[in-house]
Amino acid sequence: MIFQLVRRFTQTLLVLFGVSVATFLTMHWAPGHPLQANPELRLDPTAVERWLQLRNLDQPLPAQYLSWLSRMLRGDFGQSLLYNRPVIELIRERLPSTLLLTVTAFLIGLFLALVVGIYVAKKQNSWVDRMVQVYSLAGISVPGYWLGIVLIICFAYRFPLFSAVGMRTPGDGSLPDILQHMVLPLIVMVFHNFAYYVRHVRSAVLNVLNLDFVRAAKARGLTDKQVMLWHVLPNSAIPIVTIAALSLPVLFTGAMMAEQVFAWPGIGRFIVTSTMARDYPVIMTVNLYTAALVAIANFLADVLYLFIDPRLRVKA
Amino acid sequence: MEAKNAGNTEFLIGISLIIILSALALLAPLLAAHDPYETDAQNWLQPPCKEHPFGTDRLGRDIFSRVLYGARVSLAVGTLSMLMSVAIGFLLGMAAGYFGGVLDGLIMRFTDIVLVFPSMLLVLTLVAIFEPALWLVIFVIGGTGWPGVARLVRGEVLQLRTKEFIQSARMLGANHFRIMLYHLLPNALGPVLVAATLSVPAAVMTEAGVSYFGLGIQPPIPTWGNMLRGAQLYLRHAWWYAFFPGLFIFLTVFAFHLTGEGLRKQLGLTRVRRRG
Repeated sequence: MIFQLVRRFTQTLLVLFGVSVATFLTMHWAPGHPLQANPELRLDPTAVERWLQLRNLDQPLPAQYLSWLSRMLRGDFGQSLLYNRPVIELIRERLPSTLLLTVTAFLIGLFLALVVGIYVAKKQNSWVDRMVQVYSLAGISVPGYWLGIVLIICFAYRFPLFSAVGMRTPGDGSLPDILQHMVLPLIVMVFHNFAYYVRHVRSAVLNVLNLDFVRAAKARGLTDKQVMLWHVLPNSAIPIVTIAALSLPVLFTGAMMAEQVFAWPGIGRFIVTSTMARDYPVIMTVNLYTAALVAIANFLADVLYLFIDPRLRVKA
Repeated sequence: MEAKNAGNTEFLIGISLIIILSALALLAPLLAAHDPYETDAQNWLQPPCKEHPFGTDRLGRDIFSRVLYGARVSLAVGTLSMLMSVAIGFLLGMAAGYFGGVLDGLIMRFTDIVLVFPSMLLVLTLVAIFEPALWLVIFVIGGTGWPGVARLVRGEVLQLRTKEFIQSARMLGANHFRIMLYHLLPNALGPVLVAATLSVPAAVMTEAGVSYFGLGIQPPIPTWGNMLRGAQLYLRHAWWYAFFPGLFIFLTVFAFHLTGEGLRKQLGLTRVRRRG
């Protein structure tokens, strides 16, 4: 098991290294030269040299990479071209509102998926099961922004029940006000999350339900509830870890679609506006940050698999 | 476990929808009563009526015609990037599984790296660096969608490599190329077909999303995504403007998901465990 962990850890480090090199090179090859940004530099050739020197841009590529990497590791992601402020600050400001939305949507989706997924797996091929299967395919096929638009048309304009824009009413911002703003974006995200998670839960429970040890437990006279609780559910821990691993990066980057439609002041919207403004430092940071999160989430999931399921462990 | 003809219904409904949508896209010039670019300032934001079944947009253009022409872009992006992903994934997966060793390690680590970049983010990044264009969108979606296929093919090849029929083929003097093409490829086709079908909706979704953000294929070329973007300011007054393009995104993506799911059940494949 230790061997497996070390192996996965080195693989993750390799991936992170590759990600950083890819980001660095993209940044390096992106069109645009400092001369274009600061035309006044042209007046004095020595100024260009000084400018490049100050930013280590006169050094060979590997050296530039190393100094860039050390800045990244220290959390210095550079300045946003649009806001003229450190990228890290801009992200930190937007993180709480994104997390509020994504974590809530994640928890509600997971809860619904567990309840419904287990219920449906017990009644395989019943009409409820069929409905849920169709829904789970439809739910992952609906573009989030379109669902958001439909909800806005119905519940913000036709029947003005909820707000369609932003996170708080100017001048307000109390808890009920924020909750009221959260309703529509949450519906969009839960609709998708639930559809996505319920498939995992259903198939995981189904796989276990047909195994010998479950039949043996039933034969020993355990009630359905006991079988579920002690024999089936522990085995659905794996899909929950899978779901969490797949969702963790999205929890931080935010649901771009929902945030964009509802003008939610989070990271997802920030990514879109920065891309439109060609704010390279922000775009690159977000790429690096998301890719690193995915890699780390995958690693954590693999570690958890090994802890949860002894069958996956291999003796070195 | 699953019924004998499981997946038939899904497959049939899905494939019929795909055929209908493709026909609509191919026959767009015949079916569309109006030129998708023709503006008509007198009749802007007309609700659905006989003349304009889906209504008109802010410039009086016929939304039905624009939706039909939009299908061409979506399906082109979907199929072309799918073909690209499958080709790259097949080559790399086959090479990794068949030759093994250092090459396998190199290819799989490379796959890991590509896998952690979300394709949506990559498209946005590259579009910000270069100019938004159809080929770029196809290229990026196709160029990032292959890791799933590569892993699948590698897994299949690893299982098949030591089977007797491969050994006998080798003994009869077949070279690597022949073994891969005539013996390994046909056996790995099933799972790849499912993966290929399921990579189309992902591509369609990404393209529509990028266009919706205003960073994909640019107006006036009609795509479902940029039509939705255009509709955003008129939601209060013209529900049809945003409703129909989005409905078609949903129908297309749903059709491919149904078909893929149906195929998967018919072939008796279990779902890929994680990080498909």
